[in-house]
Amino acid sequence: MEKGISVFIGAVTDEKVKTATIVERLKGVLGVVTIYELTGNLDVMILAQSDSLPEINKIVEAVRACSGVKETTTYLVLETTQNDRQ
Amino acid sequence: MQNSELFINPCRKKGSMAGTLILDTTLREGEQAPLVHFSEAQALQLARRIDEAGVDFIEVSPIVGTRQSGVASSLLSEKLRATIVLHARAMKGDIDALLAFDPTFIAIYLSTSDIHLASKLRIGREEAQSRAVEAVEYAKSHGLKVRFTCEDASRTDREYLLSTVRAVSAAGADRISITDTVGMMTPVAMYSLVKEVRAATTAGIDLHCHNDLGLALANALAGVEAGADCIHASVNGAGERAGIPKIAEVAMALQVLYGQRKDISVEKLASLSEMFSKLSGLPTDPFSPVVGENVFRHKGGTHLAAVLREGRAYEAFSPESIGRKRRIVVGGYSGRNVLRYLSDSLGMKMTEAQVEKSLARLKEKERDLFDFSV
Repeated sequence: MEKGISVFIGAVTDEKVKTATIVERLKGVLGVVTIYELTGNLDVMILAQSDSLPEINKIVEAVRACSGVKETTTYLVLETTQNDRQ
Repeated sequence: MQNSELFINPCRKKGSMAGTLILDTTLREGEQAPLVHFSEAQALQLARRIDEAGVDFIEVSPIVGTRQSGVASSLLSEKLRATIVLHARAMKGDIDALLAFDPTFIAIYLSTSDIHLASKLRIGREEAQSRAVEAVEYAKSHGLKVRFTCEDASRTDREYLLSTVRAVSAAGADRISITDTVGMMTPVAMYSLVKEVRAATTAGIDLHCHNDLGLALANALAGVEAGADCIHASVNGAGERAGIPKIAEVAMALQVLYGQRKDISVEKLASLSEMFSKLSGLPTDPFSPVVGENVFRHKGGTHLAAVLREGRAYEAFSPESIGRKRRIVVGGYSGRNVLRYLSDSLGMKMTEAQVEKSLARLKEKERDLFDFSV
């Protein structure tokens, strides 16, 4: 059993702000593990982890508060599977 | 806020068991458990934390070896809050050895049961009682506070036990320890025994209950209800065989069930248990009362639905009352309530269709996936 919660936070960003600048800001949020820059409906996908639900909430709020992040959607990770065939 | 203010037990008895004392014997009884061995520095570290929790006595046995001797000397010089009790046999030589530490309180023991007298000491009842009285008188003549322990008291002929209790009391014993050395008592039997001992002496009565049948705490509490006023315990219940009551469960039982000993720093119990596990290498049982990993971990769908509304539905006392956190397990046993809870908490705005779809996927897993604190 995994300890703690993992969420992906999908973000749409302000096109007037450089994505690299936004990524730097997101790197400063405690609990943000990985930041993916994407094409499509979402511009950035953030993996965040914490043992605590209130802490996860704080991470989500901190991501939303980052200048250049316009809107977010949170996705709860139910299970993670590593591909052991590769 | 103390737990007893949050969770009132309907069985709680007011006015009884005022201020039951706690003796910690982790460094004596606990070290008699297989694989439990602390360096002098570790023992002192542990003793300081035990003292910070607020126990009344810390028992050590300095005559066992040089390491234990060093621990006893250090503890006696540290002026801890707890009284340091030096433990040895009821023999002049042992008492003399204890006197070298300049203690204020010693505990001396001698078996009283026929099986111990025959198989261990190889003496008769009369001689045993004489030895007990002489040892108590000798210790008292040196101005010490003395606890006399009737080893294997619960299997001792009742009349002989009471006779010994009267004799050592007359010799000046300040406290008498009634031991259930192999954990053979029931709470009702312990209540009856202590009632008789209580009537036979005005000395304080300690209870040293072993857990061979899982009844140590229940027996100790029954004995206290009958008039004993001190429970022996150890961190994580360490002791011979199945051990003795765990200090955490004793402290919380006194607080939650009897509304007493609010001076015990119960918020330090979990970290104390962790320290013991780390130093001894023996992990804490997840089902261990109060400090076990599972104590505030909720999994089943219907239980969880209730707990998310009101912790008391499935908790004897709140996790906050002892500095812990409630945890929720998500997996095959989860219901839709936990998904809705997570959706609401995280602002996910899951639709009912999404909740049902996620629930179906959880059910497919047939195992626990993750847990988290709330």
